[in-house]
Order: sequence, then C-alpha cells, then structure tokens
Amino acid sequence: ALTVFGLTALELALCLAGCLCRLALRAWLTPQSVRAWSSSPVESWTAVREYLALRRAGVDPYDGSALHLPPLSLRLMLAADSLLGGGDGDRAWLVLLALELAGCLALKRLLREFGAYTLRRQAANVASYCSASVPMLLSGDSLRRLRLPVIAAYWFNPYSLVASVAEATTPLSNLVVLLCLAELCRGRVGFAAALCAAAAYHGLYPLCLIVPICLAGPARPALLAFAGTLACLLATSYMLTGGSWAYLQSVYAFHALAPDHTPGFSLSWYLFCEAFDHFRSLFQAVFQANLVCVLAPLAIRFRSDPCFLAVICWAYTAIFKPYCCVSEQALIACVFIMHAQLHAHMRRALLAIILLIVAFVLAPIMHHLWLYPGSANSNFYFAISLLHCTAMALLLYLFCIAYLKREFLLHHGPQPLKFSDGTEAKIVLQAPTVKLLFVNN
Amino acid sequence: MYMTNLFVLVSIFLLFVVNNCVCVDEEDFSEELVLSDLGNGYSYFGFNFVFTRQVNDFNFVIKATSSHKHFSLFPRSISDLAARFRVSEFHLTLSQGYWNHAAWGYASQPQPQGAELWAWLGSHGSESDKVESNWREFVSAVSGMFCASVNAMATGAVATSPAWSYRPEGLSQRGREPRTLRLAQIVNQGVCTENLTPWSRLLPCKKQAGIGQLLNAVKLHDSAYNSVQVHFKPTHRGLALRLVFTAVIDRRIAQLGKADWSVYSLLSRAVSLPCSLATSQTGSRLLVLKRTAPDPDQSAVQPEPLQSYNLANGLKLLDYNLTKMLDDEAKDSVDVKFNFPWTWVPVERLQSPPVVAQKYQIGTGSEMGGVVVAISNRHPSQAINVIILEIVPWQLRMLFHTLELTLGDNLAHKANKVHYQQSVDRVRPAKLELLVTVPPRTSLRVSYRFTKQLVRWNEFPPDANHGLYLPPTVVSFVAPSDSSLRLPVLPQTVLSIAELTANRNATTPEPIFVRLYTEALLVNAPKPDFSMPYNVLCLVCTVLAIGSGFMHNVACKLASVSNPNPADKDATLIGRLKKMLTPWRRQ
Repeated sequence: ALTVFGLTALELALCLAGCLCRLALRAWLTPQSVRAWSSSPVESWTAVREYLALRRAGVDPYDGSALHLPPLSLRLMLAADSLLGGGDGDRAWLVLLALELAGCLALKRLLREFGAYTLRRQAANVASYCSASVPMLLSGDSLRRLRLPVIAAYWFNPYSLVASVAEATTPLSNLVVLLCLAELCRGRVGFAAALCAAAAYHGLYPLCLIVPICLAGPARPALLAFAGTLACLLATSYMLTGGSWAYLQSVYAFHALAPDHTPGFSLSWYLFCEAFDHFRSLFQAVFQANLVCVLAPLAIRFRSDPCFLAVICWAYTAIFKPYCCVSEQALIACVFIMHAQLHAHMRRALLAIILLIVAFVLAPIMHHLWLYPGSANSNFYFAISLLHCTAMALLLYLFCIAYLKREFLLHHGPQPLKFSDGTEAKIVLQAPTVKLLFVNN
Repeated sequence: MYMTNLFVLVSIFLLFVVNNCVCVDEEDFSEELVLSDLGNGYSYFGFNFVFTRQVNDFNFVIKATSSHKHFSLFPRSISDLAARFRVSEFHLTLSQGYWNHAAWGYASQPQPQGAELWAWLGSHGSESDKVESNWREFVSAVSGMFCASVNAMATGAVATSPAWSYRPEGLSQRGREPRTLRLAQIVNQGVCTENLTPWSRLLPCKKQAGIGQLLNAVKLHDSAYNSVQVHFKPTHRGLALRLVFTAVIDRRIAQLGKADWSVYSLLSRAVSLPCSLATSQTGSRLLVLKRTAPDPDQSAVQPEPLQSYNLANGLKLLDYNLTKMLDDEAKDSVDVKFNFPWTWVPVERLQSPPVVAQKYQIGTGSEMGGVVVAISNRHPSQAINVIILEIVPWQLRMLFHTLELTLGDNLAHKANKVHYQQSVDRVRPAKLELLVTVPPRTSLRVSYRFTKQLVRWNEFPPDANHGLYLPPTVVSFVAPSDSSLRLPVLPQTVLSIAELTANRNATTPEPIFVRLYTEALLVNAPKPDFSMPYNVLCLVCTVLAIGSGFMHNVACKLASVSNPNPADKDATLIGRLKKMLTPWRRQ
C-alpha cells in the first residue's frame, strides 16, 4: 500500500482534512477571538513575536512579564518560521501546522510502539491470567484498527482545532512528549529521559514523566541522561541569553507561583486572583504539592506498567497545573482512545463527555458575556472552567478505574463474575485492609 | 545663681554671633500674576511666587545637618525636605482638567491631568543604594505636606525613570554629581482647597497681602483647568523655589457668556495691599500677556500699564507694578479689566501651535485594547525632532511587537531611536521612549496594543468599575524659533524681567523647549467578582479535592468482588431505614 512517512492513504487523507479544517477555521475566526480560553499566557505565539521584536530592539526579553517560554523553544520556533519563509514571526500558522503534522507522525510511532509494548506485556503476564479471560486479550489486529480513530481524534478534537486557531505553541511540547512516550514504550529509557528533560525544559510539568521512565528500566542511566540533557539545555539557554539566568525566573518561577491571572481553563487563575494575600503562598504550595504528592502512590500502584503510569501522570499534571492548555488535554483524550481495551469498562464516560461538551459550548459564550457586553460577570466563566476541570478529572478517574477493573477481570475471569454459590458478584474498590474473598466462577 | 544666669546669657549671645556670622544667606521673594485671554471665552490666571536663596555652603542640599540655618522668606520645610531625602530638584503638580494645548497654546509649565511628581535624587557613592528608600520617604513626606494622597507613587509599580524626556532644570550642586530621576504620575488624583491651603501657607504674605489676596479657592477650583505646582531646583548661586497656581476659567460658565471680564469679576477679589516682603526691585506685579501678531487680541485692557514690553513671537507684556500703583495713586485696590468688542473669538481665527498631540483608544471589550498617539507638525517648513514618552501601567501589558509608526503615507516608519523597558507585574510599569523626526506639514501616528490583565481583587483602586487610567503621553521637542507660538506665559517671567528691561523690545525669538501632555485615557479593565473570595476558595479546593480524591482511590484501593446479598443491602441507608420501619409495618 502507498505510504508517506509511514502514513497510509486514509491516514494521509485525515491529516489533509485536518489541515484544511484548521485553515478554514483560521479564515473564519481571528486568533484573538478564541485565544483566551484555548491558549494560556505561556503557550502563545504572541510570545514568539514579542521575543523577536524585543531582541531586534536590543531589549532583554526576559526582563519583564511578557515571556514564559525558555529561549531555546522560542529560537527553535523562530528558526522554523524563517525556514518556512516568514522572518517576522508571521508564519505562525505554517510553523504550528508543521509541528502538528510532526506530532501526528510521532503519534503514529507511539501507536506502533504502544501496540508492541502492550503485546509484550500481555505475553509476559499471560501465565498469571485466568484461563477464562483469554478472549479479553488483545491481538495485533485489534491494536492496528485503532490507528484511524486515534488519528482522527488527533486532528478533529474541537479543542485542538480552537487551540490551533488561537496560535497556541503547544504542538511543540506535545511533539516532544509524544516522542518521549514512544521511546518509553519501546523501552529505550535513555532517549525517553532525554526527551523528558527537553519537555520539562519547555514547560516544567512533564518533569513528572521521569518517574515512570525510571521505573521502566535501569534508573541510573535514565537519571544521568535526564540530568545531562537538562544541564545542556539550561547552559545553552544561559549562553543564548547573554550569560543571564533571568529566564529561569520568568519561565519556571512563573509556572510555580502563577502570578498571572489571565482567564483560562485552569483552576488557578480565579483562585489566585481572589485569594487573600496571606493565603496566597499557602495555596501556591497546595497547588504544587497536589501535583507532586499524587505521583508517589500512583508510581507504587502502577510500577508494573510504566507506560500507563506515564499517561496518567502526564494527564493529571496537564489538568491541574496552573496554566493548562486545552490542546494538551485534547492530546490526552487521544491517548485515552488509544487504550481501546479499556473503553468497555468506562461506564460513566458519557457523563464526563457531556460535561466536556457543555463546557466547550458555554466557555466562549460566558467569556464573551463577561468581557465584552459585560452582561455576565467573572463567576460565570469561572463556573465553566471548574466544570471543565471536574469533567477532565472524572474522565481520568474513569480511565484509571477501567484499567484496574480490566486487570482484575484478566486475573479472575470475565464478567459476569459469580461466587461459588452461584450468586452474581459485583466488582468494587475497597481499601486493602478489608479481608477479600476472591472467587472464580 | 548669678553665674548660671550669666552663663545662659553668654551662650545666647554666642549663638547669635555664630548664627549671624556664619549662616546669613541672602533670600529673595517676588510674586506675579500673569493674565491672558486665551480666546473662545477662556481667561488664564497664572500665579507665580518665586523664592531664591543664595547659599554660601554648596553642600547645603546634601547635608542634612544644616538645619540650624536661619530662614526668613524661603520655606524651611521645603529645604529640609530636600536636604533630608537628598533631593536636588523636584517638581510636584496637582492638576484638575486638561490643558488644551491645541486651543490655548503651550503652557509655560506643562502639567498632566492629576498628580505628577518628578525628582532628581542624589545617587552619589553610598547614596546610590538609598535612592529607592529616599524616594519612598520623600513621596510620603510630600504627600503629607500638601495633603495629597499620592502615596501610591512611592511604590515602584508607578514610578519610573525616563531616559530622555526629563532633564534636570536646575544646576547640580557639585558639578557632575550623579543623580537619578524618578517620575510618577497618578491621573485620577483630584486637586482641592485642602491642597491649596498648605501650599498657600508657604507664601510669606499668606493670603493677606499681595497677589495671594486673589487666591479665592472657590472661584479658582471652579474652573475648566487648575493646577497647584511646586518647583524646587538648585541654581548657580543657591536654591530656587517656584510656587505656581494656574487656572483657566471658562467665562461662558463663570459669567454666563459675558465677554468683558476683570480680575474682580472672575475671582471676586482685588489686591488692596502689596506684599511688603516682596523684593522692592520687582515687587508684586500683575502682568498681562497680549498677542499682537498675527491675530491680535481684540480686548482693550484697562487701566493703562506703567510699562509694556514687546516680546518675541508676537506677544506684548503689559506690566502693572502693584506696589507702585497702590502707593502712588492711593487707591483702595487694583483691578484690571478686559473689554471686548464682541462676545468671543471663534476658534478658527486662532492660530494653532506648531506641534499638536492627541491620544485615543482603539478596540472594544475588556480583554485587549490599543492606543493611538497622533502628533502633527503644522510648521510650514521645519522638521521637528520629537521625543515621545509612553508609560503604560503593568495592568495593561503592552505588546511591543504591535508598535507601529506611521509617518504621513509611510506605514512602517522606523523611529530614530527606541528605548523600551518591559513592565514587570506589580513591580514597574512599561516605559517606551521614541525619538522621531517629523517633517513639516506631516503627522505621525504611533499605535500599539495591550492586553488588559486581570489583576488581584485587592489591587484595584477604590472604584473598580470606573476603570484604569492610562497616563498621558509626554511629547518633548524644541519648538522652532520662527513659529508664532501661542504661549501664554513666558518661562520664569519674574526672573527675566531685569533682562527684559535691559534690552527692551527684544524681538529675536529663541527656540523654546516644550513638553506636551496628551489626554489621559480611561481603560475598561476586566474585573473579578469582589464578593467571592471565600466561595472561590471553597469551590476550587473542592475540585482539587475531587481530583486528588480520585487519584487516592485509584492508588490506595484494590478491586475486589462484593456479594450483593440482602445482608449487605441492609447496610445501606435505605436498607437501614426500611429495617427501622418494619416493626411499625407489622402493627
């Protein structure tokens, strides 16, 4: 069959349709009209333009509150811009589209590696599975059938569409994270750690991926690769900014302290805008602690499946970090779709999806009503961002539960489970202290 | 007992001797009121009170210990203020209304709307670390002294130091000693009698005699434009202080359209006593500035002045020496009347100044905004270099890449020089200075966009729904010498009167440095709901708890099977309720 960069004709058609769809939307909507709720103060092409203008005027770009992306990321995008015939940062759409295409290729690679990883893991564990659960096992074909839906979801997720119109620079970090996950699935821990370092350099929070990477293989080389890459990137940036560490303050301290309250789809903006001054540092700590504290128990729980662990760690930080970007969350939805074996066990996913749709429809309306005619106030939009966060958290929860349920069923036989006396058993989550009765039917 | 008394007497005597021998500084005070008809029914009143003090010890300003010095006329509080906070020069203006330079011409002392304070602080050696704290304390002191709530200027979030637009007006005490500029503007600062009262207390004759008698707060504050100013600077021989009050009264309101006016008709006061503390050389003076060319004032001024001078730029100065007039003619009071042949001069007859600047807002909504500054050079033949200073508060984050200069038909003009400093949230405002050459009969359009930041609920001014003020753009340039400037007041008239009398009828115009302020803009910024802090806290924490609770569930619980048998059903709430009800059912 005809393939271009490993994409089949149908997949290529999807890519093309996705690109055309974005171009059509761009012609219809201006970046300003959707920027507020689909981009973040960090991930915005405005920063690239500002960086270019400031450098041309001979002003230190990091001596201010405008830029929150590290210098190498900005340089990279500017280089891409001039390579594609821009020069003034005016080819945003082309650069971002190219990055999205690259992201699609990375996704394709992740799909392949993930398939191989899943089959490998299944083969290793099959001895411990219940014999009755064999029909639940995955085959190469079932994994291959996933490709089209995943790629379609990648291109046509409404959130990724609006983020593309808003010129969010997320495709760059998405690309790196996808490559990192692919390397992790492939088991090349060193490469994965280096890519994780690159992603963390760009946006701090992908730092959490280092935990699953260390669990996936020998931890020492992984950590060495991570530290080495990060040190190289930071040192290069130090040299690029003319021997100044000022960028650390405007990039990483910004992520950690969330001083900018531009309305977005995160929880933090309104909280820090409304918080009393004497509570502010407490809540800054709570926000970061929430992200860190969840890592350890999850790492212990899912230590046998680092790829899954990586996905949920990434998803959790993407939802609860102070400046989230919907484009990243759209990609997470894609990765959820990739785990097709879990869909059958996600019973209340419909509720989460409906909530997400409601949030998607109401967000621009509330945002407009608040900031333009002034007929609604900030609480309306805040309610929608709360709804969005809750729905995303619910979706992630259902995803994890589905995984646990499937694992249980693989070990104890498919549904309906029955007790030895013939009564139907119900699967529940229980604290492990309760004495459990495992029965095979 | 005798010995003690004697000792005290001797000490007092010695103190007198020491004071008189070492520390006698020559002081001088003169006062003037400049009157002018600005056309279109606007009357201009410019009160100038000038203090000079010759200082033998040039370290005076630097040394705080010089407080034992004797002061007779010069306000000691001002001098102490400067000495204490190492301020070598400062300018405070509190203005209400907008000086409409396009219609009225350039002001001798330009003032923006609201409050402006700029000061040069000594930053010599060890003082360089203390500039920030000195400035902070200085602002508080000034704020207290003039009953103005300008404390917000003390925070760096308002104060800035432009590179080109503001130069020291006075001489430095110690040659080229390093000085640091701090400039702060608060647009929505009102000016009121409570500012005028402490200001007028600095006058040696207070409001009891001389020009000060005319300071009728009720009439002066009820005007189209009024401004209270304090200008302190070092001179080559010592210190100079100018207290200025400027008012522009709209006669269409004040006199219900009656064209003829006099000092008495507008201020309800007249000078009955000369200020005897004013130096005999200049005394108390009332000056009338009249245009003679190219479109002469139509007003006839009564009485005839004692002296008159033809100035450059088609201006004539009528000089009324109040001291002489009140002495010689044994009058009760002096009044100056302006009589007009018709109601008022229509606008198009007035010649506009060579450079006019205007500022307006573009964009809708409270998310993004933009600003356009239009500067036009109306001079027929000369190009003018203008320095544009734009200070943008951090709440409105300026997008530097959107800065566009349009010069005539050239859509992408480049400034000769650009100086830009980004804003830092809660720390400092953005500062943009441009040096542009504007060719004759051309207009320059500077535009940029900004994002309106959502700021914390406690960072809003008291009336949050009023909006945020974008300070005026400052346009500085040297006006060409041959242009017929509409300049109502000469800079420092009193000090140069000796020179005027020396070379009478001077007609060679000199280039004049002009600083213009455009309108300040009111920007509608996004606002949170101010009643929500606790609710938001609770709601966000709930969602956080839901998220981390989910993860806790996933991480700490195991899947297991449960037996949905009747015993378990009884354990549920409804089950227990049913069980409770069963005995009743049976009965």
